[in-house]
Amino acid sequence: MTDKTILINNGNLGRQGKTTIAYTIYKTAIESFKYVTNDIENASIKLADHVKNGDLFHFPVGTDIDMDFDGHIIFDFGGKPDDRLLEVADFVDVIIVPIRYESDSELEITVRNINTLIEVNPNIVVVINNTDPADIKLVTAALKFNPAFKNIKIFVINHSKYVRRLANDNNTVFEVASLNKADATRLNKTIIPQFKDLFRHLEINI
Amino acid sequence: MSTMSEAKLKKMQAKVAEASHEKTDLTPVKTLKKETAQEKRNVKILCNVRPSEKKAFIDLIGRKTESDAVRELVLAFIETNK
Repeated sequence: MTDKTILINNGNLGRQGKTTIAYTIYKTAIESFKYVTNDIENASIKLADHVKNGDLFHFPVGTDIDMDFDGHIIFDFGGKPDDRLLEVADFVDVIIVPIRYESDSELEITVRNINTLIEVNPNIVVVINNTDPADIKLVTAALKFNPAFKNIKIFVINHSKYVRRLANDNNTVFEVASLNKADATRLNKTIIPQFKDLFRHLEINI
Repeated sequence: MSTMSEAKLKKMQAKVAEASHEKTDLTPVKTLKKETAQEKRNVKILCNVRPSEKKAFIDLIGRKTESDAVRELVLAFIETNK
C-alpha cells in the first residue's frame, strides 16, 4: 500500500471528534500508522497508554516536528493555535475535518477553517460526527451550499453511546463489537458501517 | 422536509454563504525554527504509471516499502547523472 498520510483537524475547534477518529483509524487499520499529536494532555484518550511505543510522537506547539516522514502517518492536530498546521496540511494526502454540530457556530467556524485548509490541500473530507440525526441532513445540505465545497466528500458517524467507551475504556467501537455479541449487533447496524465507508474512501484496510 | 426544517436550512445556508468569504488565520503563533541537523524525508516526488506497470514494480520490490524502493531509484539516478 502507498504511504498514507492523514491530518485530522478542524482549526482550533476542540471536542469535534478528532482523536476518536484518529485513534479508531490507528487501532483498526491493518497497516501500521505513526500517530502524531500536538496536544497529548488534552486528548480524549490516554494516548501514551494505548498507542504503541515507537508509534506515538508528541510535538507540542512551538517545537519542531522532528521525525522521519516515511510510512503511514496520522496527524491528530488541533484544539490549539499551531503555526505548523498549514505545513502539515500541505504535506498530507488527505485532511479529515470532523464537525460535531451543536449550533450554527460550529458550522460557520468549520466553513472558515475549510476555506483556509483547502488553499493548501484540496483533498478534504468532512465527517459529521456525533450530531443529532435531525441535523445531519441539514448540515450536509448547508455545507454543499458553498460551491467551493462541491468536491468535498461528506461522511457521517452517528452519535452513539458506544463512542464514549473510547474515552472511558479506551475501546474503539470495533473492539467493543468484538467483545460482545449484543453490542456487535447494534454497532453493525449503523456506526461500524459508517466507519467502514470512511475507511474505504481513505483506502485503509481493516 | 417540514417547513420548520426548510426555514432552519435556509438560515444555515445563509450563514455558510456569509462564512464562505472568510478564512480562519490558523497560524497565529510563530515557531522559531532551529536548524535541523539532518534533512528529513518530508517532500514527495510523484509520477503516474499504468496499473500493470505498478503491479510489476510492486511484485519486484519484495519487503521494501514502495517509498523506499522509489527513493532507491531516485538516488541511483542522481548518482548516475551527477
